[in-house]
Amino acid sequence: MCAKTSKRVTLKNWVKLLFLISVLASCSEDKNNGPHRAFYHWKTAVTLNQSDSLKLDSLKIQRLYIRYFDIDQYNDKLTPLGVVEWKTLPPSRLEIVPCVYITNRAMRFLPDTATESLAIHVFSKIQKINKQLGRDIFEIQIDCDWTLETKDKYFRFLETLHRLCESEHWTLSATIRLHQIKFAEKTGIPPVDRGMLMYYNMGDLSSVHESNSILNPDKAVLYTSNLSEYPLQLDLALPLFSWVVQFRGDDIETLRSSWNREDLANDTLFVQIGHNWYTAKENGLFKGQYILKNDRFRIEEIDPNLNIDAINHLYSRWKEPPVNLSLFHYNPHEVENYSCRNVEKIYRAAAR
Amino acid sequence: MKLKITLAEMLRKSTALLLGSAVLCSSYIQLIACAGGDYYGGYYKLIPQEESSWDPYAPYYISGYSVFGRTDDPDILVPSNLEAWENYFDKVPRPDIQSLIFQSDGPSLLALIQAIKNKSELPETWKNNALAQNLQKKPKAPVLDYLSFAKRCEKHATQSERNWWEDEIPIDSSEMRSLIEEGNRLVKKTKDKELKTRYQYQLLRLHFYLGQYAQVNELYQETFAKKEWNNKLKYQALNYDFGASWRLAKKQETVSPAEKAQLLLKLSKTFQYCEDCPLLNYEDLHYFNAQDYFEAAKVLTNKQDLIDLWMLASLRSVPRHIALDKVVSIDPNAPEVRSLMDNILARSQEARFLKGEPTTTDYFATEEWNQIRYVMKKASLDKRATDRAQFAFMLAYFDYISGKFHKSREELENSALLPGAENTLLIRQQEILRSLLDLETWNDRNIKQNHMLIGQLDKVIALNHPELKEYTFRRLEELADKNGQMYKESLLFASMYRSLEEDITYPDLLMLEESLESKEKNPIERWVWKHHPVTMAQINEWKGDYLLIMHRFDEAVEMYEKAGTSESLITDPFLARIRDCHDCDHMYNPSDYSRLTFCKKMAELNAEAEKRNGKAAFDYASGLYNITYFGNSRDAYNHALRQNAEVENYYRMEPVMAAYQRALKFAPDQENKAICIFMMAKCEQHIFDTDGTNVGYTSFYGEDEPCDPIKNQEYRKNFAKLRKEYANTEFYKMALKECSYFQHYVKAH
Repeated sequence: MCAKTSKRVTLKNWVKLLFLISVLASCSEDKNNGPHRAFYHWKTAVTLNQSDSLKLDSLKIQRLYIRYFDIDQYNDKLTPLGVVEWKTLPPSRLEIVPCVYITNRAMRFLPDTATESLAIHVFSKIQKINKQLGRDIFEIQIDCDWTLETKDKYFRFLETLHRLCESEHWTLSATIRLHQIKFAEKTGIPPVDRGMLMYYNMGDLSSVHESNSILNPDKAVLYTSNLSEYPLQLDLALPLFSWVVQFRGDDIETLRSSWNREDLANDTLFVQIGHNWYTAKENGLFKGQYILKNDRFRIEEIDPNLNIDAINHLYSRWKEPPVNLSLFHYNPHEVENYSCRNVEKIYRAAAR
Repeated sequence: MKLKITLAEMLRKSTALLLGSAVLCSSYIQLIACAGGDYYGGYYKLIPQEESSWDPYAPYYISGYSVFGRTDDPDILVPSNLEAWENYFDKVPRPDIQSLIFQSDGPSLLALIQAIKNKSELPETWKNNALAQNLQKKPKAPVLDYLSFAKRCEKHATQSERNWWEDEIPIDSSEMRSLIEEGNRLVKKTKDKELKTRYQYQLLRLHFYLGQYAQVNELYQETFAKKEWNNKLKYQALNYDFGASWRLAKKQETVSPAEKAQLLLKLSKTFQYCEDCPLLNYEDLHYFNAQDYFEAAKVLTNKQDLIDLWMLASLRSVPRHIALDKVVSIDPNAPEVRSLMDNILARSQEARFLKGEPTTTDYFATEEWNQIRYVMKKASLDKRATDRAQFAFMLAYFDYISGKFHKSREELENSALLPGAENTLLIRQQEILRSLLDLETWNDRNIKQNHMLIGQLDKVIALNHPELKEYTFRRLEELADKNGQMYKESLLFASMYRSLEEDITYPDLLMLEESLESKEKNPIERWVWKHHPVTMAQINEWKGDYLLIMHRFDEAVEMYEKAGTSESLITDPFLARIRDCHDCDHMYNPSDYSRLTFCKKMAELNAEAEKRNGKAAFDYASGLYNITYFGNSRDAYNHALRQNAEVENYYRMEPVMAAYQRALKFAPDQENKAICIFMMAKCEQHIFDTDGTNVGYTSFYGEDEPCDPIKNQEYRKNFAKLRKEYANTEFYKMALKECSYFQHYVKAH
């Protein structure tokens, strides 16, 4: 009964439609070469709709690194938290890489004798979730910002997990942070098949002196001098997110991940005091939150060129280019804000 | 000669020993192995908790939950569920109730109930349980039906035992529905009021976990809403009522401010009285934002409801001083005003007076500080308030915390003139604050000779407030530290509030000794020694410790004897092992040695060794070995004194090596020589491990790994010697079996 859908097509809707077409057109320009294109999906509920699917298609995304669950200490036990919920299944043509985030606190809590047991639990939990997903996977990824204190346990955990993965012919990868590249001798090389270099969150979020804690090229340079010597084959993860850091006095108050520059610029409660700084003129409510007079807000966002510069810098440093380039993380609004054209540029910059 | 080598086989007898031991060969030694967890120094509580007893439910150091405390509310003392059962089963001991009702598993409890009803013998598990015995006498008691019913409901209404690694257990709705039917029948049947309420509570839970939220609200209104607030069960029921309303609200597209206000009120009550309620989670508060509270405030009219609303808001969404301002404007005499002020002061104190950090005064030069101050001042000026003196004092204390000393003094004097100033506790608090403010005027000139300072110190002592005393002397120590020439004063002030045991140096000891014996003490020295906890005996004992570390055992004996005391050692300091067990020897080899008798023995052994006595020489060497970092008697050292620059013996193995060399020289046969050489190999390895030029520790990566590190370690001269010259000894075989490093060394060569 399609004829009954007598929804009025307003000018506004036409504009929307045209915009969507132009976005999709801009998202489907490039030939696919260079590293495999990927995104991280870091939310608990997977709700990819048709429009997401089209976006991912047009950007020729091949892989989705999906956070399956976190492991943290909960009620004096190590527990999987925030287990992924499949509200919709991801498009079938995408390869899924399950990711498990383990807090360093969990690793500290883990008894020396229980690394093997944890690996078995993680492995079988992933298998169970895979069953819901109903398709084969070829790689799993573990994300843990290990320290010298937890290194031994974490590596023993990875060794066991690696053996289990071999039985399923899965590749095991682990995230690698910049300090783990620079101090590889101290921090060790995780016993995995490949690493994912997380090229973001490199600054001091809580410092008022930081300019952009998400991606700070000046800091990054200090950590990449021995990148070519790193023995693991590395994939690359670059940032595609923004947030606002709220300060009270000189102390960080909170992180407002759903706020952006426009929000602050358009509200009379705030006044701009620097390129990426705003301050509150008085006490008041904003987006449901209570703001105190003189609170300061640092906008941290990623200019497309920052990511491209990062790629150029990294390509000058490492031996082999990455096989996978993943953007962290998939958020349709962020992709639209950033524009598909700019996202495309990042992937293209890595194709050489 | 029989050397005192404890056979490695003995170690095997105890797995615990093996697990706990730092073994010579099969693990690398980490110098940080003994480090404790993160240091948490805490902070000074200068107006201490016990002194705020005027409001037991709103102490200075309150958690998020207890911020609600109200002294005028008798319901604050809600009996716990366990207490309610205690009242129900008169004279039954609490542990027996706990194990039967709360800790028993389903089958075991159901078997017990069956046995009681059938008048059979009690199952073995319950024979000694007083509650079971009590129930056995009343096989027809309706409580038996209730316990059976509740236990069957339990699995549907608790998730605490769930294994999170497994899939969620699906809801067994048919069983739950039949339990609801049975529950409804039992409610009607029972005449026992307490049990009736409990049945209704179980029904509420079953409806909730079945997702029948509207029924939960209905049941709550019918059965609980009108009950007295004298039982925790009511708050737990309210919590389910809130949970149900919230879930229903979430399904709606929009929730009106009035509905939200009701939700927030329910939540505030459960937060207030039922912090361990099953649905309650502090984190859940983030579902409500500041705006929700402001909107809700517009529709609420009852004063106490409004106060409850702002108290809840203060936990997460709204800055505390904003909530304080709201509560003060509603009723400046509400106990919640004090709770919030306490909380603000506690948090400020926590940030300002960290122990272990130099004190500073610039934490609060922010807008937030200005606003907090403004709100507190407003409260102290509010003519409706009966406790204005207390508010003014709190403001004075806040100013002090913030480093605004002049303002603080003004407010302090102001507080003495306002209504409520006659309160004796307040007067004491004012005296403490006066002392603290005096402290802020002191400088190094005062410390040198000022008699006023001594008068003020007398006041601090008279106030008999341990935290104030510690804080005062720590501040003085810092002041003295700023001037290099006042090291002695710094040391004396330090000794007034803490034991020097942990960081005294030998020059410190001499300085203390000189100051104590001096006939020309300055006024501060005279005052300090009058109150000083350190005695000459203590100084002599520490000197003995120092001589021990220096291996000057004869002199150490003399000093300990002069002191008349010395610490005991935890284990036999003359044990020698293939695989060291320095953190577990004490569990199996308790010691009769003290530092004094150890030194005596060492002096004797040394003298004997000089006479070419091999065993004495070996024991002497083992004694030296065991008081190094690698030995089992590290406690022989005074930890502080070993940090002296001239004392390197804690990690130095060269003297130990030389002592074993002497033992080797006097050893009577091949077996004993082999043992000496092996012990020298251990020393050799420790030297390698602690040599700053080596990148890492001696590495061994497990049984299956190739042994390159061992092979390439050229320093292992004594392993080489043992392999070449002593391969036919019994000890060689034993060492090969026990020591993986040696095994790998032999394999690699």
